[in-house]
Amino acid sequence: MEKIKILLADSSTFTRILLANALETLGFEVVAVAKDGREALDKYAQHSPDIALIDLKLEGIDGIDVIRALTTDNPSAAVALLMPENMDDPDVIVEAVRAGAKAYIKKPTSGEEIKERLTKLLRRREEK
Amino acid sequence: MTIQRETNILLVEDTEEHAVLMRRALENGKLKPRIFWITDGKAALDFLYNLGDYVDREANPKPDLILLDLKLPKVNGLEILEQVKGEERLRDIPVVVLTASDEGKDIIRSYQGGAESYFTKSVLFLNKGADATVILDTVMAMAGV
Repeated sequence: MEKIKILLADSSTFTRILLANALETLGFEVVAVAKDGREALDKYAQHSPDIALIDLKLEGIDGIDVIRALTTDNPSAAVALLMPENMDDPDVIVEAVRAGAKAYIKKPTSGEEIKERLTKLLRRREEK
Repeated sequence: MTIQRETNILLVEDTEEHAVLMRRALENGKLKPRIFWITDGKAALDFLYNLGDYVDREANPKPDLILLDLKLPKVNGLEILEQVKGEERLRDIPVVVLTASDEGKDIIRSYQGGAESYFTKSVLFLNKGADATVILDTVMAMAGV
């Protein structure tokens, strides 16, 4: 089966590296990473990923505007909003869904949490 | 060679058409999970607590993921979410809330109730469900499933 191609846009270098590595380990192909909104739009056009994971807070063009731009051109684009675990203002999720996000995904908040999820996944794969 | 243990998914969905499309999206994905389909909220809780028709723990195992519709007969999806996230034995199960509505209140309550992800069912009808497969595979991987 062909690997699912992912565009990952997140303002934090730490998160980009950790998530990209985790996704690659899980068998996805991270075809592009972007640190801000403009880069996300450019790289999406350049790589046509199967799915775009867009952080809420991006510099320049923010996450919700990126989602809106991607889904205005192609309403069925598989775009998901990456969410912090705890937010004071969950209204933004509604805004993102209305802008065209097909899902929200809570992102791990630390390397430790990613490691925990990966370990759980990989251990299950090794169980009979 | 490693052998992957089967992934068990509890799909709680009362609309047959949506359940069929959801199953297809999952079966076309990477995991080829074993899907337990339940159509009302009371039966979903019985399944999770191994009560009533679901006392056999081997035949009705603790799921690796719950795909949860919000509008369900008997007990609604948000109440199930609350039960799962409030119960020590169950709270580590990732919950993906499924809904046709983009009703803001539901989305916010799902997030605050501890749902790992929210998935809009309209995607099931796009591109013959191919996008739904991609999104569900990604959502599940990110949730550690």
